[in-house]
Amino acid sequence: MLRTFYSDFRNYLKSTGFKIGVIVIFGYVTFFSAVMALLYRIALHDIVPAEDVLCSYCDMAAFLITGSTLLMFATDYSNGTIRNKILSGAKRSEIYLSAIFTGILISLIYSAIAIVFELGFALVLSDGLAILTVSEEAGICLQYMISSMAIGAFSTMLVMVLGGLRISYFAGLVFAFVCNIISSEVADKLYPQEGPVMITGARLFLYTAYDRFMPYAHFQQFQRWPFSSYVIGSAVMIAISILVGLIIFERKEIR
Amino acid sequence: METIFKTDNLCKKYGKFTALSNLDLEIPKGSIYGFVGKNGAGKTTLIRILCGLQAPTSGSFTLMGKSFNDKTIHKERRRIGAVVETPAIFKDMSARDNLIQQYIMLGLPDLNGIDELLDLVGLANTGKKKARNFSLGMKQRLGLAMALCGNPDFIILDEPTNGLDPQGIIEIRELIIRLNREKGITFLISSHILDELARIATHYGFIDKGHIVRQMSAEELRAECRKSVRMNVADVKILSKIMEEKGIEYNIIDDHNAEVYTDITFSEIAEAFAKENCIIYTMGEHEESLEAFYMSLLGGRENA
Repeated sequence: MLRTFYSDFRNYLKSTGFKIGVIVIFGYVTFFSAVMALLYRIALHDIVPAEDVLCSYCDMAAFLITGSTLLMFATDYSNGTIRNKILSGAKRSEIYLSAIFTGILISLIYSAIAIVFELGFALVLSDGLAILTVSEEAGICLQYMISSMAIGAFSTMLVMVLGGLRISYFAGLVFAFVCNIISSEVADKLYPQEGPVMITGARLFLYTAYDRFMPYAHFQQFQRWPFSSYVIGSAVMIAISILVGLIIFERKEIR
Repeated sequence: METIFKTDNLCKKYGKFTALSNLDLEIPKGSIYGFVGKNGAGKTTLIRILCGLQAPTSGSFTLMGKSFNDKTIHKERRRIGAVVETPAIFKDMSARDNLIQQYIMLGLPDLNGIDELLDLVGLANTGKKKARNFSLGMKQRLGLAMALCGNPDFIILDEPTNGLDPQGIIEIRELIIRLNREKGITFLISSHILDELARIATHYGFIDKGHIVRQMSAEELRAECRKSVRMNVADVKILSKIMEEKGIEYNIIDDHNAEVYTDITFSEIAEAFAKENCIIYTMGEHEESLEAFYMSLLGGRENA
């Protein structure tokens, strides 16, 4: 499996999609940080705290990772290079697992690049952390990375199972969008700006479980749950992506 | 006869549509197998099954002696190179990088042989140019080079001359013949350019509506595509009378044309026609092409 994994990873690093992904991250983090710095300067006559710059990747992480993994593996189908993998003597399970691990690694690399850019801008534009300690901020960065890996695995599963069809783009991006909306709704209900939490019973249980374990909900400025919750949620999503995808991909008809 | 690929009552259905129906085919080891059939006849479906991209609905096949349900058949596929439909290449990479990628996938220990392969397919001077910017012919050559990585024993080429210029077609043809003769590589070539296929194939398989209509060697085909003399005369009735008298086999094409299947002496025939006061306008040697044979095999022009 390692040779397929290495070739997948090498392919991605050499692809235009990867370079575009890095440019998008840089552009977004630059734009977000500049806007935050300007808003603080103009509206509050203050310097932006590092926490606000360090969360710039949160809003786009799910979409960027979903889009880039979908693009990479859909290209594998459209170029026909998936056939080369099968003809190279690799088992289907090896090809699938290699794709999942590549998706996870790509997501990890994107997150790391985003954090490096954010740190750079935080050093230039802010006077440092205002509320959190360095270890707390490091924990949040790690949480982003772990959640990114889970989303990378899930979107790779989608494209591998759907065979690079356009519906895989639609399904992946719509899923990320819907999860983003649900995350906002859950945050509004569980952490209201004013007053107590108004939801109870099964709804409270579901909202809490979503907030605690769903990787798409983990791109937050502050940690709300123990770190182990984020790890468990992401691990479950990766495990589901591997198991479901393996069963389907083993039987999949490839054109 | 040792076979490299053999099917037994192979069937493939997509819902209600039957793409392959009880297909029996044998590809002899060391042959150049010309796979002939119209669009939708089932050629690509069979190639996909052979390559492990799809599974048969029923029936069985053996690839290099391994049964299709053998758990280790994927290892045999390492010995196959293929260009199915379109060349499977990494468009963001140069030709050299594409071959490195293929070498990695095959787990080859070093990159020796890449320059030789690039030279072989005429892509040695493409430098860092990305495959995305290659012409169709260059992509086809690169696909072929990728299929050749790792010295395969069996190469599957679906329309290998697609997009190539006449010079390129000649080069690819010579390359296939050379690889077949020098390295003993077996080829399965699906092509619509039948005359081109006729120049290289040692065996043929004619497929129609999902089943093999006929399998034959090039020698058998040559025997069937026999030579004839095509005559254009004023009156075929007189031609018919003369041929009957001389006991020569013939076939009337229309009111003025007929095929005569024998080595005939022009002066002798001319004399016979002169006696009957019938004019011979033209007379020339004619050989039935693979295309004509294919047409007759599949029941006429409506199948073409």
